[in-house]
Amino acid sequence: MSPTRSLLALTLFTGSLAFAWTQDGTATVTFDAKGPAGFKIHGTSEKAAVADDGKNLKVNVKLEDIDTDNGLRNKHMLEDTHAKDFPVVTLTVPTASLKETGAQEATGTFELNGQKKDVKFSYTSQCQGSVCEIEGSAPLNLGDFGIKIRSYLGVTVKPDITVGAKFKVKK
Amino acid sequence: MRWFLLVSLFSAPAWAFPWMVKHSYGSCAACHVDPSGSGQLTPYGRAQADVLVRWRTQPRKDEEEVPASANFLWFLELPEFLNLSGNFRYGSLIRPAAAVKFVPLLMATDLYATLNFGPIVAHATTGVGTYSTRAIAYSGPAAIAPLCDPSKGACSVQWVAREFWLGAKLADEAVMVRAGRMNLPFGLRNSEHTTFVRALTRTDFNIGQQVGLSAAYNSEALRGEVMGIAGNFQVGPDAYRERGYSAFAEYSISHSAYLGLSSLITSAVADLSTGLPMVRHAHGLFARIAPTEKFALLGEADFLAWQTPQQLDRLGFAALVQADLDLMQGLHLMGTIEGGHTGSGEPGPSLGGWLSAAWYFLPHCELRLDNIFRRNSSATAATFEYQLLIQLHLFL
Repeated sequence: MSPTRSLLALTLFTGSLAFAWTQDGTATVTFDAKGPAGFKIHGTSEKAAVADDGKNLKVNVKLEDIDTDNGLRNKHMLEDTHAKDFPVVTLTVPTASLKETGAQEATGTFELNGQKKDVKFSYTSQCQGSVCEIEGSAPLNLGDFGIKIRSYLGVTVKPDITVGAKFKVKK
Repeated sequence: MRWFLLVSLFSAPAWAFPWMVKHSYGSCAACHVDPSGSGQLTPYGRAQADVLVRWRTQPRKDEEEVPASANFLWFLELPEFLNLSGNFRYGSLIRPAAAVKFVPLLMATDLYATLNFGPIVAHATTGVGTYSTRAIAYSGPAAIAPLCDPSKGACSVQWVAREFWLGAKLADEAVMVRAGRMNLPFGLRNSEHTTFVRALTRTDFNIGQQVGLSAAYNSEALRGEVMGIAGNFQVGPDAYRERGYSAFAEYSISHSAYLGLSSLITSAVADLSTGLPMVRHAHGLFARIAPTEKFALLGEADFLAWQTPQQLDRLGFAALVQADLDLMQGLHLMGTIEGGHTGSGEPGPSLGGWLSAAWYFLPHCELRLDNIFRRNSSATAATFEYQLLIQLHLFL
């Protein structure tokens, strides 16, 4: 790395993400759920949207864009999360609370099923030039958001899930 | 000795889909009654067979529910405590270089029944198998009666019971303890029970079941099973019964990559193939990886040893790599390469290559074609053979 770039990186890494950021490329959102006897579900969407209004960084994803590699399971997920009434899941994080480098923890507001709840999440941020790549995850309990999961043919997914997001933003 | 011939060339595989890792199904317990996979499906497994396995000319619509045809006998919705199903497999084996070029095979006519009373599970299979003096189709160690003596060629149809066990689910279904006649927990539960990894380890789910006690564990990161083997009580006299243990553990590296290890040691006063006292070892690794939703790679490599009371008698190995490609949902193309060595003085290993296709053309229906190329190595000579196996499989 050249001295100029090193200086730039050092400057960036010591600050917060308190700039106006825009999404750079594809943003991926995932969730991982568990059921009985090792049963697990991995859902993913590459259609998430990241926006910064100057105060908060928001990660939005439409529930209908999340794919669990199983059409029937997608349908049940949309029904159980009342996606018709609340089609979008949002994580809102005050930009000032985000650090530009390393492994960090922060608190954001997660909105699902029309209900909001503060959640702690962990994330890593790696910045190069004006672009930062952020990857984070948070444990959630779907019951906290008023979601009751159906039992389908003897299999019931547990309410404790992990949600994750990975995206790049640029200044 | 009632019989001890161990020739199970082409008999009765049930069904097992280790390639379901393509759909993030690493654990088998949600879809199969056996917590380590293969055989009878649970009601949830039946639904997934319709959603993920059955061939479709048009992509499945998300709003489409599972049709009634996924039920037992294509229509019958059973009460929650009762799970009935069946496994019928008929095949034709074509061997251009053999004296008998065409062999019709009644491979399986099994009925499965499972009763669920809360955490208690009772499971049994029963059916009819064939015994052939040509030593091709053979129910062998899974047969109950009549017991055939090959030297007398006495019977051609046998009552077969591969599995019967009683189990209890514990710790939120993460643990299942069982007692009875079960599949041995070892390696991949691949359907091709004549592959070297299954035949040389004697761990196929066609005729490899034994009586014993087992504990299976399934969590999102780790699954495994340990079984204490008391022997196959459908084989006699007692000297031919193998006793020992069989176990595997598999770790989930990611939602589409799994790595496992297996171990088996059994001891018999008289080995089924040699008639001599024998301690049999099999220890190995296996892996299941799905780089994409359409493609899975399965692999297994086992170290084998045969030991008499006096000395280490033989060393060998068995290995397999299989690629499974979904050309489209319900139409699979599979390529398998395999090798095996029994340590019996062969100059080199036996080698095999399989080119197979499976078409799940209707609910509960599979048409399968296997082109099997093998170089069989023995102490006296190496022989090459080609076999074409065509199977119609109905799973009720």
